[in-house]
Amino acid sequence: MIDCRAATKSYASQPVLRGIDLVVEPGICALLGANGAGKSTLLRLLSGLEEPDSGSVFIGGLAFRDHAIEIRRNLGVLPEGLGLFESLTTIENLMAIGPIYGLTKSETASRATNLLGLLDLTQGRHTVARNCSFGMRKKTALAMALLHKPKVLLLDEPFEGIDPASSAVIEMLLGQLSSDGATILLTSHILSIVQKIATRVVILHQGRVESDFNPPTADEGVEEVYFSIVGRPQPEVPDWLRS
Amino acid sequence: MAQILVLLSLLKKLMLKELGSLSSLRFNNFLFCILFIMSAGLESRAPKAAFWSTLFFQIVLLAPLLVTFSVDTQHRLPPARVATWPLTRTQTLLLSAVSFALNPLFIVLFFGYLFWMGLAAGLFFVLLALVVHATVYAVGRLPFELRTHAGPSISRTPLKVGGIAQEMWRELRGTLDFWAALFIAISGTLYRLFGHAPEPEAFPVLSLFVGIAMSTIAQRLLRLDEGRALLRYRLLPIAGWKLLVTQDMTFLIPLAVMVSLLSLRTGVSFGLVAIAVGRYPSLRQRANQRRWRFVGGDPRFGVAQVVLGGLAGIGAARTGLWVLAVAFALYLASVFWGELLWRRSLTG
Repeated sequence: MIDCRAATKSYASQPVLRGIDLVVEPGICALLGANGAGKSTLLRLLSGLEEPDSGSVFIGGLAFRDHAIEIRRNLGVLPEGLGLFESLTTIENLMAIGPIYGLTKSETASRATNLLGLLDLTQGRHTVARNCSFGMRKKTALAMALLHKPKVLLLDEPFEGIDPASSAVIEMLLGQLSSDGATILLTSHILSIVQKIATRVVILHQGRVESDFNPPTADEGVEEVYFSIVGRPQPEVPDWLRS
Repeated sequence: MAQILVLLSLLKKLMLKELGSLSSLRFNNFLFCILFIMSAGLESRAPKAAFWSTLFFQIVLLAPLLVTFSVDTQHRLPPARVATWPLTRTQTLLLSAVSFALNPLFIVLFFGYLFWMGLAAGLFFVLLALVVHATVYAVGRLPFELRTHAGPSISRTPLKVGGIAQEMWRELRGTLDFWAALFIAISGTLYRLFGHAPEPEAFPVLSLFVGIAMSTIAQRLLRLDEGRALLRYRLLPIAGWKLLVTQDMTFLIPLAVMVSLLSLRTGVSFGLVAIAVGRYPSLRQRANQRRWRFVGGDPRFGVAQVVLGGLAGIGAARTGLWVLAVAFALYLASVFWGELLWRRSLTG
């Protein structure tokens, strides 16, 4: 379970999060918002990469300050920067972290082979990370987040830049983990996928939670609620772009 | 021509911006030593003799340095962006050649040689640089891409941190410091094995040079891949000291192998002190390292590494193993302190 209480965060005295209260229970919770709304910052706080200026964060009832290693054992993160070992191959990236999460080498190898197969990375498993395409890199980072079957998953834009087939596989994997009791918090801009898989949607706007609802039982769809909060754009095409 | 002038003005702006931030004024200890040799040569009574006696180290440094100057010049503007601009091949070549002169270190080295050995040496340096630049430019346009290959795996050890050691070892081999150190180590070892009456006093000194060539790496052990793996390290359930010791050993073991036939105790003492001094910048400074470059360090820590490491290295060679023990104690203290710094970095 994720528990965030009155968390605030500013950069260069520019407030990004203005008192976020959020409790996420097992299931798939999607965090939506425009660029700069504070989604990635909130994920960084929840994954312990940064501390809130005020307020507190608990993962499974534990705080990072005192229990960082215990929390990380049960936490899977797909960070914004991916966090790959650039000079290792795709398979080596997975093999490198498995034992650190307490998996044996054979367990790691077997799980890594499964994940690479599911995510269509088998052909590129011996490609060094820095030579991989953006999609391959993201799928590798996602596989690293899933490898130890964490109880809590924090995923920053897991579907962006991913091909449709792999997207469908990721949806299936997240659904399975969620039904096994995992708590999943993800950010996304692809509202159709969110509508399909999320059991709960939280919309951030200017650093605050503006909406919190359950799509399966809501009267309105995710897209309607989203645009009612952030506003539907009414762009005017500049003259020089017209023929 | 107007396009070229606009682009050159953009390049100048980018270069000044790089110079304007303190983090870009990065010093490599080995380069620092060469600049020191250069200034000492200029002030000596026989500057020309000083030039010839240090020519070996100058060549070891200059050859890869000129290649990296050239590559850096061409990458200051993102190549993928430049490729989409409406420039002819001649304009691109002209832009590349003129912008090469905007590298501040290139200008410093040119004036260094000009004042040290006169106009002929200065012009020879420029000519050499242009030849290197033209070669890099031509190779960069060959119809194939140089890709990184994984190389042999060393992660089959029973250690949990084998993968981290493997990542670190591959990144270490992606620095020019490593290859410069290896070149000096091989040359020194050949001198010891096959030289005519080799001078025993020279071995600890050669060992020190190997250490100095490697030492700036110790200031950037966590950021050799432009800081990307650091994000992963912070997400892993691993104690900071284990991570630090893994990285330190991946640095120290190759150094020990390189100096094993020169003066092992000198090299290892120097290495331990270099790691201990480099602990703070490695953990706290945000200067990310690019591949196939000399590592850029902080001059304050660089001087401390060379002076304290040099004292430890020479002390270990002359007075015995107790100096090595002191260096090891200093290293252990730096591991404990590093653990504290690591925890602090995890919580903000």
